[in-house]
Formats: sequence, C-alpha cells, structure tokens
Amino acid sequence: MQYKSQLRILVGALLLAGCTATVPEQYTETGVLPTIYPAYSDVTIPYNIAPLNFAYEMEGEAFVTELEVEGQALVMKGKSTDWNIKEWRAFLEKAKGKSIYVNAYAKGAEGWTKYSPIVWHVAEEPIDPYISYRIIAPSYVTYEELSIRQREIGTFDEQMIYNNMLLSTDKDGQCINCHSYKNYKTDNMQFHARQHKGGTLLVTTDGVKKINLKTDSTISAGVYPAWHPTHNFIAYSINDTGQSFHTKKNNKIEVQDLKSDIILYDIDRNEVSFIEHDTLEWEVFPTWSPDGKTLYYCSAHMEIQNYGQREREIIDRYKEFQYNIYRKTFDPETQTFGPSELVLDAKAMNRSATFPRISPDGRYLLFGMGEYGCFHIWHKDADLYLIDLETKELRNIKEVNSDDVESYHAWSSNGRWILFTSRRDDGGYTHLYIAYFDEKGNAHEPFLLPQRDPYFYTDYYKSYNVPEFMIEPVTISPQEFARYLDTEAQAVKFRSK
Amino acid sequence: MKHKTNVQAQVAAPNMIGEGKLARLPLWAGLAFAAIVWALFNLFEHEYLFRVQELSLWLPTKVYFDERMLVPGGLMAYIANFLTQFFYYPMLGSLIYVALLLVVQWLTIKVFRIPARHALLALIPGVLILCCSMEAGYWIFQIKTQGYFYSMLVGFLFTLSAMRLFQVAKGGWRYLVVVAIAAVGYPLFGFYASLALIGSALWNLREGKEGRVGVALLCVAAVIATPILYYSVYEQTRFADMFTVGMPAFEFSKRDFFTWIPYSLLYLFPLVMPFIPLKRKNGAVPKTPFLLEGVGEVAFIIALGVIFWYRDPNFRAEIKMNHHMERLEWRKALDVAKAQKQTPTRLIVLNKNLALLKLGKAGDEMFHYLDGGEAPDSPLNIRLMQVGGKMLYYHYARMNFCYRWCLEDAVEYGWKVDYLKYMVRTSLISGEPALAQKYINTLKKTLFYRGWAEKYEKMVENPELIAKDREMASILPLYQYEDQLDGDNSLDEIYLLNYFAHSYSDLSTPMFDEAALMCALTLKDIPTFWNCFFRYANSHKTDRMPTHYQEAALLYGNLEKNVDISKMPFDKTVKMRFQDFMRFAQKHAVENVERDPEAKKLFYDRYGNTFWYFYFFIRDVKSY
Repeated sequence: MQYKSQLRILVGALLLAGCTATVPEQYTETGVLPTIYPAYSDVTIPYNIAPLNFAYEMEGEAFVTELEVEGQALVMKGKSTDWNIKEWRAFLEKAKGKSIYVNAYAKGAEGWTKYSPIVWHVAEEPIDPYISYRIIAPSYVTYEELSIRQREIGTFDEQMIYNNMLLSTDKDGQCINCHSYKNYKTDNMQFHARQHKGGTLLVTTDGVKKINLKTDSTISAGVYPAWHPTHNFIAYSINDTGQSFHTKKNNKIEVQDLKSDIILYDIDRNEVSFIEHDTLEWEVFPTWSPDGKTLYYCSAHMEIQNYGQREREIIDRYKEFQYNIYRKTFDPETQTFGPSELVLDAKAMNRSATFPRISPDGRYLLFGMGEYGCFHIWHKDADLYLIDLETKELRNIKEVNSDDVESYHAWSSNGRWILFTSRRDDGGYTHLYIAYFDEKGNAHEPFLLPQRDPYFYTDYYKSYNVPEFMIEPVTISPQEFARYLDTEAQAVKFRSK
Repeated sequence: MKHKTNVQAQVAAPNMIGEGKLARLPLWAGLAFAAIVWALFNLFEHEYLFRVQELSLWLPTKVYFDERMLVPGGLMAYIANFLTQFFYYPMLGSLIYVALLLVVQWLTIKVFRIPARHALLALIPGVLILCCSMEAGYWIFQIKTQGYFYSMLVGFLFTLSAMRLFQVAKGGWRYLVVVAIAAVGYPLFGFYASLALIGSALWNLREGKEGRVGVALLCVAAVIATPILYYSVYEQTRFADMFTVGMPAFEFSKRDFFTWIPYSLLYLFPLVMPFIPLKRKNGAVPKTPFLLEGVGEVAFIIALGVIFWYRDPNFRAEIKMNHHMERLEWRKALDVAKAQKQTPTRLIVLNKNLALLKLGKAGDEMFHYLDGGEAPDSPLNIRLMQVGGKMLYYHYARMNFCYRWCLEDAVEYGWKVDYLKYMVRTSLISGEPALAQKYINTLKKTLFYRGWAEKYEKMVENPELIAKDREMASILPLYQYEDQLDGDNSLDEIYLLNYFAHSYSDLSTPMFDEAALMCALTLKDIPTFWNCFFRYANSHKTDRMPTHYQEAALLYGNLEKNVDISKMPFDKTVKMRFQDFMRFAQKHAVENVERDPEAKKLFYDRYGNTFWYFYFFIRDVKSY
C-alpha cells in the first residue's frame, strides 16, 4: 500500500512537472519577432476573449512562451500554446487597458534564444459574449451540409443553432441563411430555409413560427433582414438572383440580382408591404439606424435596353451595377417612410457599396465597397469603409483591410468591436476577424477568431459567413428548430400602400 | 454414448468425410479464397482500386476525425477511409483487404460455430462484402458513403466482433455487453451496432441458456431506443436516418434495388445463421453429402461474384485511360481506346481526342477509333463532369471550371485526393499560390501524396517552374484567353465544343486553333468548320495539312460550294480516296443509309477511319 501511494505521488509530481514551464535563465536575444501562426501581432483584444493560441513556425527543439504584463506572467512550453482558459481569463482581467508582451524562447543547438516580444493590447471594453455565423463550403451551386452555429467568444465552445441535415434528404436539399437578431438578443430572431421545407423561421417573444414571406405581389420571399430596434417590424430585401461564372478571373463567380426590392414585414399583422419597388432600381441590404427612425439601404440604377434579352443583358453589363447608399426616414407609429436621400454616391467614384451597418451610437456607417456588384464575398477588391455621419468623412479602413475579400461585417453592442469576414488567409475560405474600434473612430489591427488548435483553419475546408454579435445564446435546440421547420409555413398577406 | 455412435456413423457413411479430416478445410478454403481475390484484384482491377483510393481521403488531423464523428458510425468511416488509401499500392491494398476478409471468415466460424465441413459457408459474408465493394461501378463517383469500399467490411467486422463478445460474456455480463454495444457501438459504427444487437438477440433465443427472453428484449429495446436517444446528441442527422446511418447511401427505391441485394444478404446472414441447423443438439454434424454441399456452395459463391462484380468494358476503359492520362501516358491511353470492341462512351471519345491533341496527332488519327455515345452502364444519372470532366477542363485550360466542379463535387460527395490534386494545379495556373498551398498542406498530410504535394509546393515558391513543368507547359498554350462570364450547364462536352469552335478571340495559339478545328469537326457545322479551318491553316503555315482536315474540307467543299477548294493542295491519296468514297456512296446509297446497320458496316469496313464516315454515320450522339 505504501509503495502504491508513493508511486501515485511520483506520478503526480511528474505530471505537475510536465505542466509547469519556466522561462530559460540563459539565452541570447535575436532581435527579431518570432514567426507564429495565426499571426497575432500588435493586435488589440478584449479581456473576455478566448485564448489566442498560436504555433511557432520557426525551427527549434523546444519552445517556451511567456505572457507578461506589469510583472505578472503566464508561461507555457511547447511549439504551440493551449492556455488554460481560467488562467488566461484571470490574466487578461489584470491586463485590461494594458499591453501584454509575448516573449518567445526557442531552444536550438546553441542553447536558448529569445525573440523580440510580440505585443497584444487589451482593451478596456468587453466584446459581446456570443457570436453566430453560418458554416458553408465555398461552393457555387451545390451544397450539402450547412449550419448556423453560435460560439461563446470567451471559450472555444461552439454550438449548433440549426443544421440543414436535420431535414435534408439526398433528393431534397435544404439551404439555410440570413440568421438575424433584434437588438443582439435571441428572443427575437429569424433565419430562412430554402427549397426543402422552405420558409422563414421566426422566433418572437410569442413563440416560434414558420412563415412564407413570398406573396403574389412580390418577387421572392424575404432575403436580407433588418429587425426594427423598437417595433415589431423586419425590413427585408427581396431578390431574384442568378449567377454566372468567370472563365479566368480569380473572383470565380458573379452573383447578380435580376430584380430586387425592399419590403417591410409587420410581425403583429403578419403582412408585408413595399418600401422600395422601382423597376429601374435594384434595392438591397436594408438596415435600421439604432433609433429605428431611419432606414439605410443600397440601390443600383440600371436601365435595361433590351427587355427581350433582359437576363443576358444584366449578365453582360455586370460591371455597370454599382450600388449607392441611400436612406429614408421612418415613422414607426404610422409606418410611413420619407423620400430617399443619397448618402454615398459610390457610382460617381466608380465603386459599389454594400451592407451598410450603423454603429450602435448612430455615428458611424460601416459598409463594404468594391468595383461593382453586390455580392462582394467573391470580389477580391472588396474592402470595408466607414462614413462618419457627423463629419460626413468617408475613409477606407485600411487598418483592417487586406488584399483579399473583406465582406460581411457587424458592430458589437457597445460599438467597440467590429466582426467581419475575410479571405486574406488563403484566398478561398472566409474566416472571421475581429477589430477594436476606439472612441476616436479608429480601427485597430484585427485578429483571427481564435481556435483551440492554432492550425484549425488550415485544416478546415469551410467558410464562415454572416457573422453576428449576440449578448445571449440561442436556447432553442437544433432539433426543435427542425420540428418547426417540418411544419407548413404560414402565409403572409400583402398590403398595398 | 449417443454422440460416439453418430461420429462412427459419419465415418462409416458412403460419400461422407469425417469432421476430423476436414479440420484444416476452413484454413485452406479461406486462403484459397483470399488468393483468388487478391489475384483477380491485381490482374484486372488494379487501376480501379487505384482510382478508388484517389476518390477518397484520409487525414491524420483532429479536424478530419472530428468531422467524421459528427454522425453515428463516424469511426467506421474513419477506419474505412484509412484502409482505402492503401490501394495507392494496389498489391498492398488488396492484401490488407483479403486479410480482413479472412478475419471475417474466422469470426463467422467462431460466432456461428460453423463446423469444418461447412467451411465454405463461412466464406459467404466475405463474398457478399466483396460483391458490395465490387458492384459499385459508377457509384464510386457519386456515393456519399464515406470510405464505401471498406465501410461494410469494417462495419460487419464490428457486428461479428460484438456478437462474439456477447457470446463470450456470461450471465449478467450479457446485459452489460448489450448496453455497451448500444451506447458505444452505435455512435462508432451506426447501423452495424444495431445489426449486432439483433443478431445477438436471435442467437441468444436459439442458443442461450440463461435469461434468453430478457436479453433478447433488452437487445430489441436497445435497437429501437438507442437511435432515438442519440437523436438529441447528433445535430446533423435526420430522425429517420438515425436507424439506418452507416448503411450505404443508396436510395430505397427500384433504381437501387439490385445494388441493395448483396448488402441485404449480408445483413440477413447473422439473422438467419442461428436458425440453420449446422449441428444437432447433441453436437453431431448432420450427414449431408460433403461434395454435393461443397459444389453447391462454390457455385453459389461464384454466381454471386459473376452477378455482382461490375465488369462494364467502357467503365474499365475510362478508368484505365484516366490512369494513363494522369501520368501523361497519352499513347497508352490511346491504346486503351483502340482496344475497345464496343461503342464507346463520350468520355472515352473525349479522352481519346485530348490524347491525340497532346500528341499532335488529332488531324491524322481522330477518326481511327470507334466513335459514338454509349450511355454509361449505370442506373445513376451520370454526368461526364463527375467521371472525367475535371481532367478535361484542366487540360483544356478551363481552370475556373475545373476548380469549380472539384469544389462542387467535394461539397456534395466529400473531399477526395483527386479533387485536391486538381485544385492545387488549377490554383497554381490561375495565380492563386496561397490557395494552392492550402490544398498542398492537406495533401502533404496524407500517407502517399506528400511527394506529389512537395513537387507542386516548389511552384508556389517559384512560379516560374509552372511553365517548365511538362504537364502545365502543355496546358498553357490553351490558357491564352480573356475572362468572360459563362456557364456550362453541367454539360462539359457541349461547353468545350462550343467554346473552342466558336471562340473568336485574337489570343490564339497553334494548339488552341487545333482544338478549335477538332471541335468544329465534331460539331459537323460547316461554316464553323471553315472559320476554324482557315484559322488553323494560318497558324500552321509550314505544316502539312493533316488528313482528316483535308477530308472535311473536301467533303464540305463538295457539299456546299461556298468555299472554293479547287486550288487547295490536297494530298493525292486523300483526293483519290474521296472520289472512291463518292462512287461507293452512289453505288450503295439506300434510304436512311446512315441508320441501316448493313450499309453502316459496309461503309465502316472501307471508310471507318475517315471523317466522311463520322459525318454520315455517327449520329444521335448524346452527351451527358
């Protein structure tokens, strides 16, 4: 018995020794930054983010990583880091508003070397505790498994919100998209299912229902949604969409609207009405100001010359579709809209603007801009831009943009964080990046959404899209959503003005 | 004493062989079976087996493992894909395969307590598994079952092992084993755990001594309850599919009825076997004539093999051509096409044309082969894109389209080495090194494609190597075109024909013009032909005009007098043969001559290697 307990102590001590890392006492300094993946360098992070695990990509027999902030340190050995979440969070709490120095030590044939420290800045403000996104393979026509998932941003826990394979069959596939929340909360949310068991799944405080937003008077069911912040309305674009393929260009595909309008769905009355319905305008991407008194949207003006070959002409003139940003006032009590007002004449700049999103304080308009079109997820030149609505200043947010696609973006509920998709890592797969947005209106160096395995993204063959912040998780299970989607959709009524 | 009498009776009976003398029969039968299968694989199916592993992917990464485990039966798929990759060396892969068939045989004997004299009976599951693997044919391009070639083998091995474990457990342990098979076996092996439970329940009813009904009821309850309980855990499986997950992804329809047969027989085997009286209650083996039974079982086994082993010559030719073309063995690919005795599929014809284009022989040889458009021998809706179109797009330099279809099919049917290889190459030629590197990184993690990936990784680092690569250098002359928005409507032959024949880009090369002229000939459109003909003539001024192009010019010049061919320098032999053809045609012309089999043969024997025969007699060809 004594022998056994001694053995236990020995094993325990060995295990403990294996977990405890110390910083080498003797080393030479290289004077260069270590090469790490993901390249988390000079980034600004929230104190409630999951550990920024990374791996060293330089040669070495052994590695030690030390996180240091004002005399406090967190040390780990190994070629990649996998911080204990509790220790990490406690450490970040102490680092709030300060800078963390990431000291890297690598052991080579001639002993230990120390690299120049990488700096991580920890913001004072937290980030919303949850995000959600759609996981989709970056294919063009086919799809098999699609899912909408939520991630607790302070950990690596990811949960399924809904997965289309719960209802898809080999012959009848189901597409899902456009998950959206009212005021960052999940008691009012929606997402669409297309094709098999199609409809819009609407969650309100009254319960869950499946609706069919397509009416005889509208060209499609609802597509891009925007929840009104104070009333039970959702503005949708409705789109008749087609796609064609580049034979050589790396953009690969053009997704174009053949027609589009904007509608308002009144949840309480279960009826839709037109907000924008002009045959010469391609209106899309509605979004509300935080006070709910202004609707922003994008629109491209196009006069078709040969209606007999309308679709072919739209395809051939794809570069001429350049979207401006407009807005119109809205009175939620009377449901009346004011006239359209041009906010950004992108066409005059030979550009096309997409996805306007207003910051929670109402001051900034964040949007995407590329040379043409409205499906910028495939456009290498698409970048994020910002308009200060007070000063009217427009600028390319170069701090966050890359040479590749930047597309769908969202503001955190406190307006201090921007979440967006980018193809910068490999040119083919969109990943999520988060950037700090300070009080002066400057964005900081963005960082890749951390994963437990630093090489997760290199092995993962799916894209993240439609990222949204939430302040609480979705609590309805995927199977419950499937049960609702398996029912007949409730038709909505069309109300003409 | 009674037992002894029976044994004595066996020995004494005429035409009977004693059990003791047959003790080694299972071993010899198993080894003979394994040797035959291994030999057949390596003599006739090595290109097919290689293709099977090319159309699968196994990676030693956490992401890959986690993704398999998202559905019940995930471990089975993981193991099946792991084993499939060894067909990279068909001899090694088939050795592993037959070794596992021997394990199936051994477990079958153990589980069902098959006496030595019935040894051949123990081969039946292995034969059925073999049938499941080898009946696939064109399914290899469309089946969504991960690692399908091995999945039923791995799954059935689990079923037998679980049943054996159940049998070995005694008393109350059996309840525990049932719970373990359900709770652990189902997530890892899906339906095959349920099969083990049903098999165990039936075996227990028949053979068990203690708690026969109780254990059987628990098994049945577990079969029903386990998928229901796990439905709340697995978030991407339909409720109805929870009961069948792990089975092959065929439809439960008339279309796939035949395909289901070996699977159904395999699934029935453990359910029926407990009730087959191989031994009497006292342990004696019934006295059936050994030779008669043996011959019957061998005949049954051979019949299964003959019926279900897919042997369509066109399919085999496609697989072989692909094998050679991937290695740039264009002449060997042509030899396969030449050896064809039946009307080829369009893929064979297109592969042949590509090989000839690569060798610069199209103008002289493209009509020296059987032509036509036999539909693929499959109940499936086969698309050329799935079976060989990606290679065609790659070699015809439609990089975005090749990439696109690799991605589309990867999404629908799962990632495969084959797709990744094209995605590396198309990304490199398209100037997307980071994307190429992503796919290279994946291939470097495979057991057998690391070397291949490293070759192309050098091109990521040194793009100038692209133009120096033999394969890519032969593609770049066709990559000289400007971007446009287009679509192929999933019909790549039609797309390629129209693209090349009707391309009026100024950016042409001699190779591009040759491809255009080949397509114009296939389209049989006279104005298109003349346009392409003059473009070709212009870019091949110093070359001799190939025979088939002369044949077409002579024919079209005579059919329609729009182009003056009187001053064209036709070869004497071509001109004389054309005159001969015209006289022959006048002499043998009958109504609907092009559809008259006798007339067709008459013309084929004499002019089967000319464009004229192709023009008049190759009709109603449908692409797919």
